[in-house]
Parts: sequence; structure tokens; C-alpha cells
Amino acid sequence: MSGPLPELVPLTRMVTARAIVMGAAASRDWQRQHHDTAYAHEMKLPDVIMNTPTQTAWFHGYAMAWAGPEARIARWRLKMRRPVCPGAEIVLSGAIARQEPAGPEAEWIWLDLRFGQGEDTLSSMVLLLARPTPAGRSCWDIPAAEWTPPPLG
Amino acid sequence: MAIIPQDLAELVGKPCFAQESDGAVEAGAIRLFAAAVEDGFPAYWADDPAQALAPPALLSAWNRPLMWHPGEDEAPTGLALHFLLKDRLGLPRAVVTETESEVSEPIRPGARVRCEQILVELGEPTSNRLGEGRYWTIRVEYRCARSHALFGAETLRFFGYGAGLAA
Repeated sequence: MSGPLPELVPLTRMVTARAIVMGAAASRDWQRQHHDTAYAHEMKLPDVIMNTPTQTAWFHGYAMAWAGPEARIARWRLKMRRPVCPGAEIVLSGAIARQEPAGPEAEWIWLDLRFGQGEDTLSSMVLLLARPTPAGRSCWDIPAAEWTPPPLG
Repeated sequence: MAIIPQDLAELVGKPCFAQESDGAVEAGAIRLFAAAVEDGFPAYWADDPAQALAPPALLSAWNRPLMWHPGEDEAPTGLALHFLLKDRLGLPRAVVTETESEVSEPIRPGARVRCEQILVELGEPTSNRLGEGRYWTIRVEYRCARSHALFGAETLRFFGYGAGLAA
């Protein structure tokens, strides 16, 4: 095992209309609720909303900045509870929920992650990633036949 | 009266709408997304295609068709099964409420992605703060079009609503 891991440090990010529109366009998502405010209002939404790939990438980026480039994402479950709209000041935070050996050179780590706005949780993610032990190789070098992530639980 | 239309009930569990990405995965698209989400993960910015990786968050993106093609009047929709359900149930609005995803083989520039959609579950009418509607769950499997290796899969739970409203 690699010993005690550092805690995830909360990260504040501002949600802008540009971030929402760019994220949607760059993930080829042309649904109008991600770029057309009037249409979002017709949908009973407060404003344009951040799409699923963009939210996922914000969570992944936060987790991988903590885990390091040799770590490798395996599974995740994203729950979107409240719309993520321009003007929101998001606090990304997380904690290690569980650790398990993944062979001699890596370990599985389950993270509980959160998009917080004040007391509200806008979205949450359970993320499973593999992280090498200090002597282990990059998890990206694990052959397909040996890449067998456990369930998210 | 059938609460779940029979023709839709018969779709449950059957792979359908097989589709291949309309282009290959490419480094420029990976970088554009990494810039949009401000992610400096080195493999998203690698110049060498052999070192480059697509973000797992883009798993579904490669099979979203371009919104316009020369000579075609109607833009194709990416998640055809989802749009079929919206049309058939008369629920023009829908939002994703939950997703669960797994990634296997890394997706690298040059790959073409083939996907299939499976209706996992279609719920009975219900209501929430968006109004009356239904939940449904779709699983999409993504494979390498050439080798058929599994790139990953995602399970999406939608809430469709807005009966009587324009799309």
C-alpha cells in the first residue's frame, strides 16, 4: 500500500455562461438548454445549465489533480440534484470513501465528491480510480485483460 | 389501459440504433474540450498521438452527430432511442438526472467509435418539481469500430416532461 493519502483540498470555481457553452459545444452537445437562456426558462430552468460531460470533467479534473497523472479513472456515478447555472460559485470537495489493493502495483480508491453552493449540493459523484503504489507502474500501462475494476457499490 | 405502451415495452433489453461516429477521435477536439473545462492533464495536451488520451468525460461525445451536413435538411440526433421515447410519449422536454459510467480501453486519436443503445427501464407516469412526466433509463455501450474492444458504457436516467408544450 502507498500509505496515508493526502486529503482532497476544496477548490472554488466560478460557473460562467462561457464555461457552460464551451463545455457543451466541445462535447458536441447542441441541446438548447445549454446555450439558449430563453429556451432554458421555457423548460422551467433558472438559466442555461451545465451539461453532463462538463460536470463530469470538472469532477474528474479535480480528482485527477489530486491523484496524479499515473492514476486512471475506472467508474463513476453522477447525480445532478440542482441546475448548475452561470453565476454559481461552486466549491468542489471530496473525501476518500474506501481503499483496496488492486494487485501488487496499484490500489483502488473510491472518492465521494461534491459540487457545493453554500449549504446546497448541486451535484455529487462517486468515483472509482486506480492509483499506483510508490513502486508501481502507471495505471495506464495495465493491460486490458488485467483491468477489472470492482463495482462502485 | 396500458401504462407503458406495448411497443416501447418490447424495446426493453434489446440493443438498437447501432451507430458509428461520423469522424475519428482527434487531438484538436480533445484539446478544445480540455480547454473548455480547464483541465491540464498531460495526456489531453500531448502532441504525440500515441501519448494522447481522450477524457473519459467525452465517452459519449464521439457519437453525437454533427448538427449539419451538406445536402441534408434534417440534423440527426445522437441518442436516437431517447428522442424516440420523447416523441412516442409526447414528452418534448427531458433532463438527465443521473449517470453511471465505466471506462475500459483508453480512447486515443484515430479511433472510430461504434455504439449501441439499450432501453433498460421505462417508468410509469409520475411528477416532480418540473411537472408530470416519466423517468427512463438507457444504457449505451461504446466500442472500437475496428477491433470491437470495449471503450466504455454509460447508463443514463432521464426525466421527460412537458406534455402539451412545444419541443
